[in-house]
Amino acid sequence: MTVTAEQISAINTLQQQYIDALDQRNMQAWLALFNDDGQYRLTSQENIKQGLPLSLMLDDCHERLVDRVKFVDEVWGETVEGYQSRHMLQPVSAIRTDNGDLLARTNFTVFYTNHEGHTGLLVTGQYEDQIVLCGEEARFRAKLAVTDTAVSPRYIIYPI
Amino acid sequence: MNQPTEVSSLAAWSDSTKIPYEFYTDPEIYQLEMERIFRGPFWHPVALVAEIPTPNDFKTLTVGETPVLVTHSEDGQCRAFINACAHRGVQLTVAPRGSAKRFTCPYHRWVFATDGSLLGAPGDETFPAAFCKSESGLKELKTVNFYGVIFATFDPDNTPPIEVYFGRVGDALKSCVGDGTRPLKLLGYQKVVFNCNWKVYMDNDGYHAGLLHTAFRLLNFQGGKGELFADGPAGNWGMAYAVERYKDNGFLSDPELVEVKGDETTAAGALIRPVTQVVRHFNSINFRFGRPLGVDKTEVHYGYYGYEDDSPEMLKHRVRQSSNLLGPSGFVSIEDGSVFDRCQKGVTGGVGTMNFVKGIGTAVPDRKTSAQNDETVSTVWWSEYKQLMGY
Ligand code: FES
Ligand SMILES: [Fe+2]
Repeated sequence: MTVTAEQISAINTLQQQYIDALDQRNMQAWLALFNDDGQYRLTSQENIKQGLPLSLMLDDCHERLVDRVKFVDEVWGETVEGYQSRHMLQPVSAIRTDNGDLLARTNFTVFYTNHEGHTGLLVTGQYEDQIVLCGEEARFRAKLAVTDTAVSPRYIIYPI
Repeated sequence: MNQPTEVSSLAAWSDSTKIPYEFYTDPEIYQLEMERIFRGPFWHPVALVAEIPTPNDFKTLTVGETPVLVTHSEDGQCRAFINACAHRGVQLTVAPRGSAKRFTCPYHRWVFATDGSLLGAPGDETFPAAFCKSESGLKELKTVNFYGVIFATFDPDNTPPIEVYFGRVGDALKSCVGDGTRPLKLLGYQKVVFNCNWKVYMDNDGYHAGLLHTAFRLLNFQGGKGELFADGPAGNWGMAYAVERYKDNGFLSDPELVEVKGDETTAAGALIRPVTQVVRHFNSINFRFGRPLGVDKTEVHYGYYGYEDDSPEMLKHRVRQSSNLLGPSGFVSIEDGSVFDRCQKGVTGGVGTMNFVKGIGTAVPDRKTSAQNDETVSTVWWSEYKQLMGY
């Protein structure tokens, strides 16, 4: 099925809200962009290519997403060396599946800036997202972030 | 010729509970470590059989600063080679893992078998008469399969037999990865760079667990009742403790993540010098291959495993638990990376010592055993370190 201009626009809005939530570290806003059955997974292309299921973050139900928000907001605090993230996106493709969901691929590049003000490239890769439309609004049913980067230059704290 | 390097700080130092900062920051000491430790009398884990389970499987890694190729030959043997062509040194393969019946060097198309032997070299009719094909295979490292883990050494003449080398710590390793008879199944990797010296990473102790790791406290994991034990000439140490099942205190929306399923009653860990850590906790089996990247960076590849005979439910549980709990971004363990990096920043450019104190006041004379939350056993390595470095 073809994807309409309105649907493309809904996807773009969702992706913009997503990176804005993360870069502002507004984890509640991040959570709100997932559908009730929404899932999040961050893994490397190396694992995917080898057919290995392990991930760096694997939130396969709403409760797991809620717990991730809690750890970022309430648990780790200043014990971890926080960083300012900055996501750069480039839409690549969008198709519509038989059940009406949208499948969108979007390139990402994420920079981090540490407490000293030094900036580096954290990861680069591609989102493979399954997006559900409820009227005008789009939500993630499954957000899969696949990093080309197999070895990140520091440990990753926040979702990509 | 082979001038012994003189490092005055190493010569002057003797207290294994007070480690001068420069040992973590001095490039000259780092170079000496590459020679005396990484190419010295150590058994380095290079692969689990589960990473290369079928004939013709291979993997590559870097041990110290040396590229290594590990193969599984048709004869069932796993072997380790320097990943460099016997002709002019080109890396034979760049893939992290794969399957290959033979390795063809791209430069001049010499072909090597999985047992390292040279099968053919184009134009060899004009090679010098003294050129001997059977002596021109890949440079092989001596290896041994210990509980399903392939260990290799660059210095076979001076590295003791593996049982002697590990002593009691072999029991901890066995407890982590099984005895080699129940095949493990590779689940995948998490890879990260810690911005610290490799010894900062390996100084990680039992003292910090309940203090640094907020999640341990919030989830009511007490810890502390187990034992740490160092053994063998490398100063390796192991730990074993009874696993505490999580009593749901409402903290997590999804408490299943930290459940211990099946009949698991214990947890274990092993610190394998120079730069490997092995942890079995909850239902997560985790083998962490380390690699120094200069004096202030350490790359760690976290490999996770289940068992081949796990039920689909158990496998799924292991994958979600392993993905989220004990890795570089894990709920429980993420703070380790933070203190590694901050530790390196703290000791760089200054004069001082890293001090091991917890448990030292009440330690047994050889300091080879201690309570779970002590720093005592870390000092056994530091005593060995001075001798290993030639002082
Ligand atoms: S360097 Fe490998 S064939 Fe020449
Ligand atoms: Fe820790």
